[in-house]
Amino acid sequence: MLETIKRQFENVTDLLTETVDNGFWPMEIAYFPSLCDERIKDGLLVPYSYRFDPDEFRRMLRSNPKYVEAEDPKQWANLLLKGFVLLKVEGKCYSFKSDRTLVTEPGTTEVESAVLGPQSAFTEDITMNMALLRLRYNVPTLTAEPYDKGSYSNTSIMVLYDRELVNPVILNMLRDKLDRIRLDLLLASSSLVKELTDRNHRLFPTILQTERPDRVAVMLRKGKIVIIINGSRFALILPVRLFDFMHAMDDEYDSYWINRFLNVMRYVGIWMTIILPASYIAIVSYNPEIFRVQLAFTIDGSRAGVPYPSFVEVFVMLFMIEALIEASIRLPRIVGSTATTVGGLILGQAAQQAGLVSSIMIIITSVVAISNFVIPNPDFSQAVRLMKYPFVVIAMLYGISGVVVLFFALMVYLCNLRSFGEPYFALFLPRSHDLPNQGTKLGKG
Amino acid sequence: MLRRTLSIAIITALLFTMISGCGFKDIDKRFFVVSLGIDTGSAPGMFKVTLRLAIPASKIESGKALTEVESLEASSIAEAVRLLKSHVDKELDFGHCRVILIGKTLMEDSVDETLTWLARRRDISMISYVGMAEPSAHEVLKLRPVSERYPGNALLLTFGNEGTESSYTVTEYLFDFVRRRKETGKDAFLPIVKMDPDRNSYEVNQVAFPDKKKLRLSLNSEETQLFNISARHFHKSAIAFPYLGTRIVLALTKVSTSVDISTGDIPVVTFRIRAKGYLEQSPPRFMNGNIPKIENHLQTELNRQLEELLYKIRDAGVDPYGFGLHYLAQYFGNSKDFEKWTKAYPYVSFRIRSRIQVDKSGQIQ
Repeated sequence: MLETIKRQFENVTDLLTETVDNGFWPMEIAYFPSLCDERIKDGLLVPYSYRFDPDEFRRMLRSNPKYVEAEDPKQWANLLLKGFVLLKVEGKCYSFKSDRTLVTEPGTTEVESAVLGPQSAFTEDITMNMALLRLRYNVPTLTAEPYDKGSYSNTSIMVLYDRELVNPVILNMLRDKLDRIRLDLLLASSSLVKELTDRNHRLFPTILQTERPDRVAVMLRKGKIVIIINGSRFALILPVRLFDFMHAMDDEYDSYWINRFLNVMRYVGIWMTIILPASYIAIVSYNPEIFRVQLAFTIDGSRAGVPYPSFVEVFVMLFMIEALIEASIRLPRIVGSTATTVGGLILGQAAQQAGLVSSIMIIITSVVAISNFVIPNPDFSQAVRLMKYPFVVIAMLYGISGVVVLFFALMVYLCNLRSFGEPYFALFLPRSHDLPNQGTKLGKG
Repeated sequence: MLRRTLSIAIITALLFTMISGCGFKDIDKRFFVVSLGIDTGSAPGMFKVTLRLAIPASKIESGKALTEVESLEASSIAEAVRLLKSHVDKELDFGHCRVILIGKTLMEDSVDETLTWLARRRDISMISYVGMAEPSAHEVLKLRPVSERYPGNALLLTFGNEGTESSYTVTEYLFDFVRRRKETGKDAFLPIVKMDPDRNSYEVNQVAFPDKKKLRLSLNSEETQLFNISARHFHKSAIAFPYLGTRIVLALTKVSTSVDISTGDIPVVTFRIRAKGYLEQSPPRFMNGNIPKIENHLQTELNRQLEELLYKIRDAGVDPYGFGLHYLAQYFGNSKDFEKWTKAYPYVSFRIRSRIQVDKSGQIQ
């Protein structure tokens, strides 16, 4: 066995291959010490060395579920890389599962924090993630299908669903797609998202990424399919609708009216962040009669010193705010707040005093930036962030009617979108009490 | 494939340059007309167009609103406006022109041409307020009210119910004015805008009644209020009644009216008005606090005042209440019916049935 392995792992120095002898039996053993943990000592080395009893050892090999016979030499390399120990005693090969778990504690939410909901988030370890999920969705019908993706990274992923609730058509579609995926490295959930969506040039995300186990549980209950990936803090949920992206987990925990209010506010926010810069151009340069008289005169007065047409003003400010957002993400935490202060306060104020932009434009830019962050899902937030530019361009050329037509076109586009065959913009879905119940379905079958 | 998409994109971009966005004009390159005045010119057939243009300022203060008044005479309104464009440095924008004043002399002449122009221009909004200016629109627009915060704001706030809500001020929109001039059996009314004697504010407390062609009658402010109450159900008002040398004032809270027109050769118009209110001013121990007696007294007084007003309007040959339309609605409304009505209208008699309900003031005596 060792010869075969050594041939496969030529010059791999961190692989431990050895033939040990306790005086009764020789044993060939191979494993990566960096991938295996201390369990190897209690599980293998102790019974083999000073507590050795041939009968007991044989019994252990047969009865301990961590020992699996591994006679196929093609599997060996893969097993070793997964953190298994390979051993050969009495002419038979066994694998012993002793993979090291790096993460032992659940993560904390960083992207999707909730006030009242659970604060734990997925980790970069798939077994931990399974544990976090089983804690919240614990039924016998929860099914997990393991896959290995990425020809170089060999990342293990897990497709989870409730087999009572899942739509088998979508499940088969997903299996087909997963089989067809050719990836070298699967390092983040987003690269799997890219592979799973049909077209890469898609404006809106059609697969939801979340770090919250409670969201995954809610979605599983709705019959969605979840993919968790080893080494990624994010789980993928599919198929989803646009409204799932606008759903914060707090909505599940808040009281009814607060929930409604926040929901309405969120949609107003998304509408504002898309429309506002465009409508500023359209109204200021094409149809000033839409404003009330007072506002028209105030804007007129504040724009009096601005040398460039309204769209240049808008582009200047939008560039500034986008650069600011980008900088605050990339900058180290400590410098981050400095950038915001410099950018937000000083630049905005100075730009207005220098007569480069009107004071109304400063307000609009801030509203656009803030309301963009009202969107609970970062993926969707990015998509919306991009959406305002086509609107700005069309407002430049066609004014308010252009904005209206483009908004209509956007609606048409959203209606056309599909997420794994399911309509993306579907308003009506079965409510939770219409979903089949655990008891009834189990009783039947 | 890529080449095709690229070429489509380039062609689209080129097409975009061709349209070049007609009408793109920044707000600071526009001159907002806040009110528009139209008078007769110095020679017959000439029009004098007066525009009050707003000069925006970033600082807002009472009385500091700057406006520029431009006026020009030409043989048509359209020409006058076109010519005026050459007198100003920015593009004229009628989008915020909310007040349109028509000079008294023009009203006495004919407003046909003016109205056609106003109705045809797409940039003049039909929700503008219309009024008749006395002595002339130019004189009224030249006035700079002290309280004006935004250019042209003072006159705008006078009308409608955004600013002051006076029962003496009637409000007429351009769309309603145009409609009433087209409608058979219903005539227009216009508020009369005058300068305050101390020349620092406007005075809008009278109403003018044109028929389909020109001005026929103007009411004084008392009658204007009564018209406002009876025809337009304006209830934020107070009616005064003489009583033994003093005056009793009834503040209204609710008004409703209904009209019945009898058939017959000379129709009788029964005008019912129900009003609810409380006595705002009355002598102490007035009629011993006997409410039915007070109501009775007020009703007879109101009947008399209204009857006087209706006969006055009838005698001037105008019909702002729309009795004719009401009459036509009772029949098939063909031209023969209307002919009959126009012949009969100068002889119709009015019967007023008023019903006044006096609420207790509710205060502790």
